[in-house]
Amino acid sequence: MNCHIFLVIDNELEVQMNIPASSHGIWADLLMGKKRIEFEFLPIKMTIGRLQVFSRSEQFNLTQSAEELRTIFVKNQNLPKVQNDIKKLFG
Amino acid sequence: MKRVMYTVDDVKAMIQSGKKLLLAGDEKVLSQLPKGEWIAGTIPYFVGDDGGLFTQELICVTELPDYVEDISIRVFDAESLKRIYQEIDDHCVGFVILPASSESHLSFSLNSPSYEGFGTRPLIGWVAGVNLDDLGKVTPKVYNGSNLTVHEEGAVVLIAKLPPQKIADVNIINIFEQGDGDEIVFLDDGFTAADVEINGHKVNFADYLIEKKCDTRLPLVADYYGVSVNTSFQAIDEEKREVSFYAPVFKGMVYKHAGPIENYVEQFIAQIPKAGTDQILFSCNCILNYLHSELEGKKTGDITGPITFGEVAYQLLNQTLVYLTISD
Repeated sequence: MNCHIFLVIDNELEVQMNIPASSHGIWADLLMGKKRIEFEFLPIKMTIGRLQVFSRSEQFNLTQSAEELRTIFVKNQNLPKVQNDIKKLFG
Repeated sequence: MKRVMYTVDDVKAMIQSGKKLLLAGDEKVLSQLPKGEWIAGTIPYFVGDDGGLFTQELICVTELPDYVEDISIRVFDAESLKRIYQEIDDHCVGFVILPASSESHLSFSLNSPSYEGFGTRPLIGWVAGVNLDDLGKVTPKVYNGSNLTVHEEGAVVLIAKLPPQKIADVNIINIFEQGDGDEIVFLDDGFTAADVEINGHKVNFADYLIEKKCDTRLPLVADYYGVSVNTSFQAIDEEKREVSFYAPVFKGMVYKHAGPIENYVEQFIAQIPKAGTDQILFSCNCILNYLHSELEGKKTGDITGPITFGEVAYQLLNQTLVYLTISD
């Protein structure tokens, strides 16, 4: 798995992680229950739980749902819990 | 432990000195407060400085720290609430208070997990209520202190801007877990249910609960990828053969009735994180936990706050303590 970690200096130190696109297979594996990871961040768990149920409906759109989940990782990537979750996801 | 219960005069002085406040109290005390940087919701139940407490005289105060750079206060209706996550900027945390049984409460309960940007910004809050003796006679209310408006339908939201190095984390303590009983699947989203699937067989849920003598003080629990999310029972209507809930159930999700709790306070305290409780800025707990566990006069560790008709940690929850920590 590719997960590039680099540092950006912009007044304060921030960790920026390159999170794979929503087309990456890991998102589908999570949403379809093929891979299980003990995540720490509450909204990640809530969202996967909801989307796994939604995945059994006719309205389910995998690309859209994968992007929805990925966005939570991206928007919260400065939080230590999410950084831990990203490491669990991408090694 | 920081003091939380104050008199009206104390709170007036805090507001007049420019403090940014999240408040909870009875309508008759909140209505005396002057204009300022605060929001509030009605409720006369608290876990105060000395434990569980019913008071219509004191106000529960969460003072936002001096490092909060800026706040904005807005009132959302049931329709505009869907933009709530988009309205919270980078390095901000949102506090929401919804009046119980209002359109905004019902809409948020059903739809918030699907709002655009769900979980992309920290959102915590609670559902305002009333003295249980006044149910049906008095309406729950929320207040926008910046213009002294009172709302029975809208949700009031305070968005606080934090310095970039501060980390806001919303979390929950839920002592309930799925029991080892039947799997319950609802056929539609909603606050009521008649027919459901129990272990794959269609049955009437009211009949089932009565026949099984289920203890409806214990919630239904769904497993959201390792997070136990409760839905509390409101009533069983034997005549209509219908069951109502304090939060919506969702179609397709597998629920189980919670396993029994021997001692709420002991089990609750066992779940309080061992470190970091001094970083808790805000917390609230559910009126059903207060009632069923007889919390009046009892302390739940050092965790204080309003006792509520529903809790918000990103989405609506029941019978759950929610809390916000701010750390560096």
